Amino acid sequence: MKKVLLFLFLVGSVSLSAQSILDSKLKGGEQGRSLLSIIEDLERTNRVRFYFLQAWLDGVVLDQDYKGQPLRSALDNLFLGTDLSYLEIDSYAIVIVRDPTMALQRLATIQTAKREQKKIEKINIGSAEGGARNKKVTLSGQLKDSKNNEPLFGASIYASDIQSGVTTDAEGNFALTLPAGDHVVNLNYVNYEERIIDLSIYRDGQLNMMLDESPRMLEEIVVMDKAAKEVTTSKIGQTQFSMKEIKRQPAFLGEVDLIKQIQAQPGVTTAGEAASGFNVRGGGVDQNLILYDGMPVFNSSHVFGFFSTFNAEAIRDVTFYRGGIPAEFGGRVSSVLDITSREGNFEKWSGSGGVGMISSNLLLNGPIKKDKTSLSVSLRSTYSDWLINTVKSNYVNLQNSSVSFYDGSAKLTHKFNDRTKLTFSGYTSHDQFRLQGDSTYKWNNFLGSMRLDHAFSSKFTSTFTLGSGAYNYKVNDKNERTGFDLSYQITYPSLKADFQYQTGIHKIAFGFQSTYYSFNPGTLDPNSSNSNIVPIQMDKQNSLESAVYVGDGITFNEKIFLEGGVRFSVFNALGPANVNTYAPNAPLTPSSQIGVEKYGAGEVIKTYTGLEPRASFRYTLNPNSSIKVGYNRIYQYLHLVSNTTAITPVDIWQPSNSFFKPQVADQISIGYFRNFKEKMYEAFVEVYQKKINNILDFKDGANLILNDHLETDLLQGVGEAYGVETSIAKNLGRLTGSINYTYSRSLRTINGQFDSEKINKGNQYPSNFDQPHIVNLVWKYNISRRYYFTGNFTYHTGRPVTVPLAGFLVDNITVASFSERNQFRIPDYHRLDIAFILEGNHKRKKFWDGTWALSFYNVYARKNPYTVFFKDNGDGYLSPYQLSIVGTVLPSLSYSFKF
Amino acid sequence: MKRVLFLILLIVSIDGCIDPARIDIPDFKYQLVVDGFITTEPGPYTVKLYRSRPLGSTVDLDRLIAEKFAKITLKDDAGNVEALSETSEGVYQTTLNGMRGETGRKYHVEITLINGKQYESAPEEIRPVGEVTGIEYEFTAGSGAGFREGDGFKIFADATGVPNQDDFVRLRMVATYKVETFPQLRTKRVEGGDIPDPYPCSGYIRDQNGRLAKAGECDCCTCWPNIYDEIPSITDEQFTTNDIFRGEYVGFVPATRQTLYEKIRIEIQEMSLTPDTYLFWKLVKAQKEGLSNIFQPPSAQLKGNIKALNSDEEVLGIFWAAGLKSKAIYIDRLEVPYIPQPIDTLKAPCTFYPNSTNKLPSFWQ
Repeated sequence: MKKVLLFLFLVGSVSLSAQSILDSKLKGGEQGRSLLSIIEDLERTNRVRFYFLQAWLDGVVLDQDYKGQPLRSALDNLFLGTDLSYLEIDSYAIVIVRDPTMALQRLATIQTAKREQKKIEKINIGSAEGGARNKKVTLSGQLKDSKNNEPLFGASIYASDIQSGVTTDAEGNFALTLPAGDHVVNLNYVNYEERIIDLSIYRDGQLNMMLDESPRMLEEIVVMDKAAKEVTTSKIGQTQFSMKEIKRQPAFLGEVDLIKQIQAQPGVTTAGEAASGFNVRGGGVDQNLILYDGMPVFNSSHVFGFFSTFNAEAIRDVTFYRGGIPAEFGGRVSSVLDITSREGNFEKWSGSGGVGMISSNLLLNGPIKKDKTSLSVSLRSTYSDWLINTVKSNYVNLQNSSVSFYDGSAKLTHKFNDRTKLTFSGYTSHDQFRLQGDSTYKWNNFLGSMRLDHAFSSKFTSTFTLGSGAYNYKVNDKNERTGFDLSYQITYPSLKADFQYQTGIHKIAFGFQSTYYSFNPGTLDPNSSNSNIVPIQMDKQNSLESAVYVGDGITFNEKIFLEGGVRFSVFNALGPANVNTYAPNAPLTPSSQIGVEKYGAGEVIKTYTGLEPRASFRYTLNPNSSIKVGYNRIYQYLHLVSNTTAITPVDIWQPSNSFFKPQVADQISIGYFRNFKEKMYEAFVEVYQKKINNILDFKDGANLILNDHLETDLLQGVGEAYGVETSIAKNLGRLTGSINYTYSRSLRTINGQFDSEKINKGNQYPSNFDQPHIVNLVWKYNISRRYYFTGNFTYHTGRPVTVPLAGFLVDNITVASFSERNQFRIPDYHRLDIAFILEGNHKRKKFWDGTWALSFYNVYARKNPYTVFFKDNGDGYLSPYQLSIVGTVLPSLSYSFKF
Repeated sequence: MKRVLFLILLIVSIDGCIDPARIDIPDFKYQLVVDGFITTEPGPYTVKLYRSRPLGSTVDLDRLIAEKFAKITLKDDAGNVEALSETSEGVYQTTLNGMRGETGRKYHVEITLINGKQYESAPEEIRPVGEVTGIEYEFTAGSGAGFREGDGFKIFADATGVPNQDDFVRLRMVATYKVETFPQLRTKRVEGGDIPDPYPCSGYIRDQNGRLAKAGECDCCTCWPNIYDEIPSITDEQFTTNDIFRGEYVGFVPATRQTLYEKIRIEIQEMSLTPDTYLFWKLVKAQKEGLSNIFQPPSAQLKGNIKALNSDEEVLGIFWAAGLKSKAIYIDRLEVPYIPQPIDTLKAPCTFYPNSTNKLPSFWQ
């Protein structure tokens, strides 16, 4: 018998060695047939046996005809992306094997979850019998907050057995492509309870889930699972913020501030306490695109930058991009801060608010028509000058001075059906600052938009936004002789359409945007009959900025993700306008002006176009580490013109025109990201390099306000920035927090044709915000389940300044001789803030939830220099002095509530 | 703007956050400073040569290190030349009846230091000048901590430019007042008490009996100090119509027991500048105004018009030429809304006052 077998074996191997069964051509007509029946046929007609467990192949159906194709390719195709594979043993046996790794991984995940007493939910979508087993299916759906029904943005949906995941978009929607079969899917969101789904999926299906906010019944467990997002699903240079976490950090005078948290991100710096905005990777403050519900905000500061204009209660989510900026965004070269306001609750009315030392705020939201229409309204305001009026001072009439601000937003949402939603969103902020006998400063932002979200199908969605914004400021001087009103305004109606199409491994985004800017660069009017001010009306400046874009996020497999895109932008400076002309081959000065060129209404003065490629790539080395690369080119057509240390409300925005070319930035960044100890620790290191052409800087002594020869006071040059950002965070346990260190440089070269058009003789010099070393430390310690001790420490190298080196007298006036621009540095900045947070009980059902926050800003009372200036004390002495805005520890108490 | 700054400090309930700055500045170089001008008014014209001083040092600016024994020549484009003579340390002057600036002419100075280093200023053309048509003043109560501290007069001027000319105008203020001091009352402490110790210029001596005795006229009891504008007033034609400058703020004169001793003379000089000199004063103005501005525009480098001829040394200061017309008024001591305090009994020569002269100015009425 043995001999017979051996004979058969030899015969078989001889007769079939010429052609393996795997190479035999199929006859056709396979489509729709089960693999089992085909195997039966093959076994009948050939001397071959297949070895397998029947359960593995139940439901595996051939998806196409394979006429003329070898069996090998049919099997390869069928088993792709599944845990099945095959072996050929000599030529007579095909063994179908199942890789146990996936199954074991799945089992291990489930067991771990059980051990941690997490609930596992079993969900079946389709069945092995009915559905094909060997294909890819898409799990799509929406994640929402169980309490207020708000969509969760940036939540992670992660199939832990195959290490593949996605995050939800701004509407809480997601679509995850998986091989049909069994999976363990984890649903995570910061400060929400994880949900674990034991998923059996054999066809495309929906999964709409509610997540509960973590009640933290168990003292020691605080889920802050940023790690899952960061390493496996995030893109380079992108950070999402949880407003809840922001509220738990120390706040300056009790005012919870989004921008202050942005300033603590790696690669972000600021000029100081009373400085508006932030600087990202060596870029200017004007290079940050701040979007509130899709509309740009021109001034994000209250009280000269002490506070930001965004009420934390009214914000639903925030995404910050500082590298690898997607093609969807454009117009600012350094970063994008995308803020989405809170949508009203469609189920029931609820509210939240806060009472602080400076301001109070209230948010109300709820259904106007249940499940159909909802409204969310928020308002924040200062206490009618209470603070300033209670200050005792030697100054006369300080009681008549005022500092006040308010901001408010409203959002009305109507759902026509599951696929169509219409949203009206409005936002305004106002600031006023006045001293008796001095000028009153007022500035305002207004934004209004109408947004239509429509899903053509579960894979093809769209958003149309029609909106308009305005920013203006007014300076009012009441002086009898020199009284004036100075006003400035930008209005910008805008139209935008964005589409997203998802198919297989592709996530395609495309759309267009168009914004018409109308600038009133300044109107000066005398405000009394005795005023000797001559009225001035600067010429209005109009321009149109448009762009089309397309981008594709491709998940090639579990390891490789690539997002590529391109944006094409067009900018037209439009008439009516009078454009100064200057003598050729001479420096631009008012005296070299030779004439004026007139343009009619709507006539194109100058057109610029920009092709902006974008790319973001992620390679997941293993479940705990990944490498990411980002590249972007961005054109910026609007420039903030300022010659002051800090950005002030009375700075002006200048659109590109015949004289001012658009800024063009190229940035490349590469990062390595890693988790340790089951995501308890997360670390990354990222390097970047950025080059910005046509960056603007001012000539010495430039006069920027009401200057109809602005081009003679400004210069354009090249900006260069590079750096390395490192961060390590602890995400789990009683003590969580992060420390990051950034080394970065921000340099400029302005080397015009003529000596008067050079800065520092054309040599490279540090920009105002070149702060090479930056350290930020943030922590939160859970004293108990309701008490937290949080804090942050920040350190950065003192920023560059131009300093007086010597004093002398000319015509009896004491003056100083200054160094070249930015050749010295003010002393280093460092500050520690701490806060004690007492939250209400964490019962899931309660009427009122209150939180107390006691903050100490600048704990060790460091007098951080804000600027350096020199002072003549009246006896002819000139000495350098430094001004510290906050020179002491500032305690504050605030209370916030939810109901 | 100072007040805005102060308010911001108050808002955050703190005060006094201005401290001396610690900035590491490399080795200080004492640079040469040239400070002088010529106008269409009669001379003598003055050019001062001295060295810049480090900031933060306690050297009084009045006692800047003078550059002595230099040779300075004033030249115009018609070939006229006048050598200046050193009238006091580092102060060089033309003669009373020497060269006088003429509209349309170009002027420059050539300087040779005692060490042989040579410098010259860029030629400056005197442009036509308008007229000062009015001077107004306004009393303002101060906000200083002490009694009446900071009180004074804000001075405003009206002026005209020159038709069909881009006017680059500086309105320069020179305020003059009269003071008296009592240098004869100085005493000296000796064993057994104080004895008179009059300054020699007081005209008094201590006689043989040890008593104060008049021996001649006092040469240093009455002086006329000058106050200049602290921030140069630079006009901007953009803000005017028909070459008329109205209500330009030109300076501040403090109301003190000294300035209010008798009366204050306010002279406003309209000076027509070249574009380069205009830019220089504009930068000085920007620098002075930036001092206490919370928004603190970074200060500019003041590039003058003096260059070194036989070295690459950088020189500070400017020699400029200007057409000049002036107008003056007097402000009486009774213009303050209270009775001024009597002048203090200063037991020192009146030349103690900065920028003062003990010679009765010809214009003083």
